[in-house]
Amino acid sequence: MRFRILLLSCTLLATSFAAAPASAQDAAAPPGNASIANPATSVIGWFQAAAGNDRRTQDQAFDLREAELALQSAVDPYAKADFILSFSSAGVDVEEGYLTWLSLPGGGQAKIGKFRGDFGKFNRTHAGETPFADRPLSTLAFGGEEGLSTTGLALSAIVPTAFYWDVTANVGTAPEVGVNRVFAADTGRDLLWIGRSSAFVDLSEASNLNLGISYANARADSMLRAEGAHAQLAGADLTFRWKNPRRSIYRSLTVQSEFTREQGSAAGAPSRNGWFGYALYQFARRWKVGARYDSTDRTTLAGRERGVLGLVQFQPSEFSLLSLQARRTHDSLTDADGDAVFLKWTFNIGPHGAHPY
Amino acid sequence: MFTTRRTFRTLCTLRTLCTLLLGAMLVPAIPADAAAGKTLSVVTTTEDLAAIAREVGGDHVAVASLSRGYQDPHFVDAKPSYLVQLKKADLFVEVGRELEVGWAPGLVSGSRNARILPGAPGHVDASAQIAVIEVPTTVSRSQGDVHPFGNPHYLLDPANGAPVARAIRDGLIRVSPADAAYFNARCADFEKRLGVAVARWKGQAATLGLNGMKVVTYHRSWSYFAKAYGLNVVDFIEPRPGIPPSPNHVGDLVNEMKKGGIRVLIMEPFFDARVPQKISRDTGVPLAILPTSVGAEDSIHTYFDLFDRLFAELTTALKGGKA
Repeated sequence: MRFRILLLSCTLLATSFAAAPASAQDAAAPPGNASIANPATSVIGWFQAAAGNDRRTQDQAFDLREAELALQSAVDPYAKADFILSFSSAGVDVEEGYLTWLSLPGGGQAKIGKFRGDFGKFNRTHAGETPFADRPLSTLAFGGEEGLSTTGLALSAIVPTAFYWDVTANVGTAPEVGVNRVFAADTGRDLLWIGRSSAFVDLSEASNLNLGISYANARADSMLRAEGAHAQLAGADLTFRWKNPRRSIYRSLTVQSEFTREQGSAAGAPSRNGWFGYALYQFARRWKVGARYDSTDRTTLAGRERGVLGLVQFQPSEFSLLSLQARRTHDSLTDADGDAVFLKWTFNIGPHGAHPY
Repeated sequence: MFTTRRTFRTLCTLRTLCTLLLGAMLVPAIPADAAAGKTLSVVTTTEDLAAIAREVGGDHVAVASLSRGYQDPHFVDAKPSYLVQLKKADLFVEVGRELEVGWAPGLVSGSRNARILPGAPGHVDASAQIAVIEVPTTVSRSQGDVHPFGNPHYLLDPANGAPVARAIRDGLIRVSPADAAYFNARCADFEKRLGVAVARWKGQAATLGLNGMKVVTYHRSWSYFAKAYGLNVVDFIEPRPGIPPSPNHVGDLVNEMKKGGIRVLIMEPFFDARVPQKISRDTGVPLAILPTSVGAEDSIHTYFDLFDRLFAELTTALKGGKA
């Protein structure tokens, strides 16, 4: 019933748009450039409602989870800068702020500043911009609420082969105590090292496959220190995409899976595994349905958590997205189930940004 | 895991990754002034631009288009495989006016190719010499997905092929000055042939009585075509750019079209034809699904083919046949 009301609301919203062409005038060609003095500025809002007995990622029934202020501009002919400031009930945070040198001699690229680590594929997407109201259980177990970020240097290059193959290395400060569930720096000199390589192959005009492997190493969190001074993460991710280019705005399918293994540096240290997989199918211009399965060991407690999530997504325009999601989790330690329902609404104001890929 | 599987551990170490990374970065880059005498690699965002680049560049260029002519050029996936082409490109040509804003800028900045970055000699905005129309006086998303720098579908006025060819010619000369005479001659020849064809299409438009003809189009792709031939676009199936038609809007449109005077309903091949077909059935106004780009149909290989085919299909629709 609630879903029907939601569908009706969405339809009413869609049909309320009246035809009113924008006022326009003919003009000689001006330079295609909004402003030299000001960077491109946009705000992404993430509003979310939650209900149920398992609100591990959201306590409040209604919450403006985050307002992201994104600033982007060319610094000079060689570099661009990106700043993403996050405003939430927890305060203001520089979620990312980095300078990218676009082309180094030899065809590389370098980034310096604070950025999301190049570990896996999902970690690099801001929480509000993923299809989900929460983060998959394995990314929470091994990356924490905010994922794996660092302040430091990233180098990347495209390997000269017939298909796309890249290699990336990050080195930066290790996460502070309490930020991540695997890594925790003793001092500001402790470093986080990340390496990643990924390949992308077009299977046909409509389908492609992206495969990546990742590795991360830093000082272990105190709860894991008995298993070695350093903790290590290894990951593998696989993404399949299908979209007929003749009907690209109406039908698409994304299937993604990511596996993570954690192990301390001591000889014979135990390992913990987690993975998730999801499929997102677009069946109409504005509509998608999706499902996700999660399974992960926990880093500090025994037992395993599993979860399933289903979602229906409605996109009134390119600039807003509404998603109704239901999740059930099971904790093998307590043999208890947890249920949650989310209504996620994200919206974007400002210049037209890049389409997510 | 890592202690028992040494091979995996070795592969995963940062040392290995850094070695791969440095190896890739030390592959010698090709300096811009080394372009003379070799076949230039030209990458365009659309097949229209690719066709014109082939006309100007002749056998001195190898041209590839990132999108296909049957795709909606607003919504092309920024696939990493395009970076392989862009990394080797000597010249990058875009339609501009934010047509490709959702996918091309990220590809260019991710290409690690300084030759084609914005402002570099190998970066061509083909709209630079175009008299752009429909530049909004105010820009607001309440108007839909408007293009703040004007309508980018200028290649559907065939006369605009000439300034685009000149912009590409200038770009080719910047990256390979030694071939300037060759590119100048080919560009002049293209402009001459295009001028003859434009006169022919103008004659066809007059025969069809396009001047003053009332039409409805799906998206604002046809504004330049309409301006060139005097078509009067009275409404759109899409209520605002990028916003799909609602049942209310379709109902209003059908009622308006039933009053008469609309000669043809024009749509692009990449939109779902079911709503336009229903409007056509309900109103009796013929539907013409017209190509918007080179490559939109198998038989459209050149910029000349595009307009020949477009006029042929428009003629069929206006004479009551299936377009």
